[in-house]
Amino acid sequence: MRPLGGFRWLLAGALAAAAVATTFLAWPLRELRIEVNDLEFLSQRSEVLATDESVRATFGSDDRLIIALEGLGKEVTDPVFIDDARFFMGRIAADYNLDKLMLDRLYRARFRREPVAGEPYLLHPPGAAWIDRALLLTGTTGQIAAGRSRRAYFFEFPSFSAAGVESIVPLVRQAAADLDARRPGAYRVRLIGRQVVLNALGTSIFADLLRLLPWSFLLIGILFWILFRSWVLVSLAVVQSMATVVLTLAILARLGQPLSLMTAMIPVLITVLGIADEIHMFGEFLRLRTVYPERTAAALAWESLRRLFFPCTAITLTTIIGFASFLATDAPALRLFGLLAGIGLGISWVISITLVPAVLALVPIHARPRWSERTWSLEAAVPFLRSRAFPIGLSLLLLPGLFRLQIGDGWTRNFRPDHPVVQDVHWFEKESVGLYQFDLMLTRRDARPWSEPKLLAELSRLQREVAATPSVTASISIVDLVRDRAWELGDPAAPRPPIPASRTEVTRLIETYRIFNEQTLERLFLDREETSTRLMFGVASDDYATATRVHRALETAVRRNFPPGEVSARIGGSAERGAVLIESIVTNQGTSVGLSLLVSLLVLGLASGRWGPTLQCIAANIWALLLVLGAAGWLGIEMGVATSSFLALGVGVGLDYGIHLAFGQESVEGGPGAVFLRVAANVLVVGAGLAVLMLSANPTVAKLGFLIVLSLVASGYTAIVIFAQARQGRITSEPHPVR
Amino acid sequence: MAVLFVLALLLIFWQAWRTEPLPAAGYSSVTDPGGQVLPVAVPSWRALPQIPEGREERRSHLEGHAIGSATSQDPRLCRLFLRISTDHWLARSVSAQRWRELTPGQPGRPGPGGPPIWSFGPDGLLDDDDRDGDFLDPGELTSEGLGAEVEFFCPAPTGTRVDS
Repeated sequence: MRPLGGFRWLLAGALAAAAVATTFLAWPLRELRIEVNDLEFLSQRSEVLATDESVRATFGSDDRLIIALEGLGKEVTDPVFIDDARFFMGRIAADYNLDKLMLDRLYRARFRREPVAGEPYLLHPPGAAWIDRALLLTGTTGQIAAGRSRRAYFFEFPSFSAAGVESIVPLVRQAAADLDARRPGAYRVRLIGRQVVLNALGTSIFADLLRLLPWSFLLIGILFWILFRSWVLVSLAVVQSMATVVLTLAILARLGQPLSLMTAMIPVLITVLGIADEIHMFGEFLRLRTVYPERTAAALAWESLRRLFFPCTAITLTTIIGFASFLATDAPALRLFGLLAGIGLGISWVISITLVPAVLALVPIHARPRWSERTWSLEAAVPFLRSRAFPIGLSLLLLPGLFRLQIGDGWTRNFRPDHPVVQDVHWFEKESVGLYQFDLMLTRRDARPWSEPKLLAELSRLQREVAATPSVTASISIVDLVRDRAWELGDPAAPRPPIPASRTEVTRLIETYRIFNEQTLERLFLDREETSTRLMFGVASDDYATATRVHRALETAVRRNFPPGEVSARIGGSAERGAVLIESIVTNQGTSVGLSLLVSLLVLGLASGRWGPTLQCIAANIWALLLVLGAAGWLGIEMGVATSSFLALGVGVGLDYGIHLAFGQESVEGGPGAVFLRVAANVLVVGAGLAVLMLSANPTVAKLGFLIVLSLVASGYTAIVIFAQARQGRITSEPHPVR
Repeated sequence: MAVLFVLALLLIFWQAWRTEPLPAAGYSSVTDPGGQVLPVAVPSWRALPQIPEGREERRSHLEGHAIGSATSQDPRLCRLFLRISTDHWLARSVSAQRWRELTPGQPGRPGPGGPPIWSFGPDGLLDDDDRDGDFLDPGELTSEGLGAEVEFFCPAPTGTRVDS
């Protein structure tokens, strides 16, 4: 073995120290949490969050976990069903805390006008006939205590936290198993709630990450092997990717931030984007070694680094700018995503300019891929450039698709249609009020109490108008509580009474909610001073179009029913949050894309002093993004929270190709087409690497992967088309003259 | 370019360190103090509860399962417990005078623990005969007949537990 020189010993020592430092820095990774929080996509100063906070402070929290017991052959009024439901709840209530927190709206004891022998109290278990009438007549029980088919019964728990909901699930599953043992195949149990969806999404993105990351590493390994035919270079690229991912996630944990819907995409992104520099570095190193066989590996590695430092630094910087432009948005999730992706790329760049040249200098590399032995003319490297009509035709074909672009999203779109969460949510939308709701909070400016019959009548009118809007599945207000209770206290055979004529009577009815230990139910709709009230409207779906339509209906109904200045109206709730979220994300994406293009233009122009090529880079990028947006329009891919993120990535990564073509020193050793070849290889490797996202179990992430790959291919293509105009070359592919 | 790059990295690290994790939205309850017993409403899944028979144990159990029990209590007043459901009571602080109005001359009947109890008919909940805003009206607690159980606990020396 050849003895190591002093310089090589130094490099080897530095590599060992780097390995130890990496292990040390990665230590916080053990504390990384996984959490999906829909609120992190909204500006913390947004009106909807302020309204939600106000609603929570005034009416109490109403986020809940709903357990649905679906009878496969019996209705909820069947005595066997009632007995089994009681058994099922009893099994869950074996847990002390769950016993205290469970709420049963259907079978809870009711007032009876006549005393019952042997039951010395006022509230008694309801009979089947009474339940039947209640489901038919009442607003509250009729809409939210049982399914429309009468075969499903709902009871609920308050949803304190994600972890709290997660801890209830196994207990419910066990109770369901016990029920199945008692009555095999007779029931199906479903868990429904916002937190259930978000928890399932958290589990799903983690499972996705565990599946996609190894595929990314494998794909990088295969592509690097095809390109460079060297196990050393393959290992180097994979090690660099893994170190980058581990360190980036460790920083995420160190910041106390969880792995969320957005940050979960970062490992795959930086794995692939981070190795883009290596394609150029390895390519240049191998070509120089062919041309200058007399030089040492250390000298060649240094020369490669010297030549590529500016373009590699510039492309990483513009990609970081692309991500960092999310800082201009007001959505915490996007800001963190941008920052962390930037940090990841920064780490990757540091490894590229330290570890990679060090390994190239230290470890013998015997590979001699054929392409490195040839010179490349422009058209030999990118033969499809002969056609001038193609780019024009492509633009004319795709750009009209921009007018077909739609905005839309929904949390359930993050699961495949056959996912149990989606099945349960869709089932619940058909059976009951749906998972998403609007809260309309009305506060009187004149301090008159909402318990006045005249004001209740106005509320009732508004409620009816909004409830008639398509997509509104249910509505509940204090009017329902008053009328329901009037019916409960009266004759069960009679219809539901109208709003009482006197305020005294209304107050008396409301007071029974406190006496019956149901004050929580009353407070959900009327505050203590009775000057603020809330109306809840369930909606059939959480998509943008539905939420926007119902929002408009709410505003119109308020304007129509209350003179200006009489009440202040605020709209909140999960459905409203969804609509605001999508709107804000799309606006934010626009802001960040515009900003990153501007900053990239300034940085590149100022740093290079060459404004012409800089403008060409930006133009190529904008052209590419417009082509992809047009394609998305034609393909019917809606722009939502995740899908619209491809724009920022398209700027950050797409600009790289233009930069290499504009500022990469055309190596005389490789011929005029060598840089174009490397860019094409870059598009292939990065595009194929990011195509891994298309394998995601999350359809939205899969669509995002498709759009990113499309934008990379488009960016590479438009950059090559634009910069190829400035270069001339002959079609040659000759053996390289060795110097 | 390198300087710009390092500056950009420093900037994003600085921003990242300034970014606080989002706090979870807290769970808030707005019911009145003493206005709620857990579980909310009347649990349908429970068997009938066992109520202690000794005076103090019984009173303690009733207080722990009563609406309105957390309000400050005047030790000179009697505590009235009206049984609303299997699992909860409505608690009131009433004067001896008020107690006499509610049970005019009726001695009550022996309760589960020995001392007397009265009955409150469900109809009583639906009216307010004396229009004082309280559904408990004079004469509505009877010794005989079906209805919800009512018990009184008065301070000494008036009596350990009211026996008519």
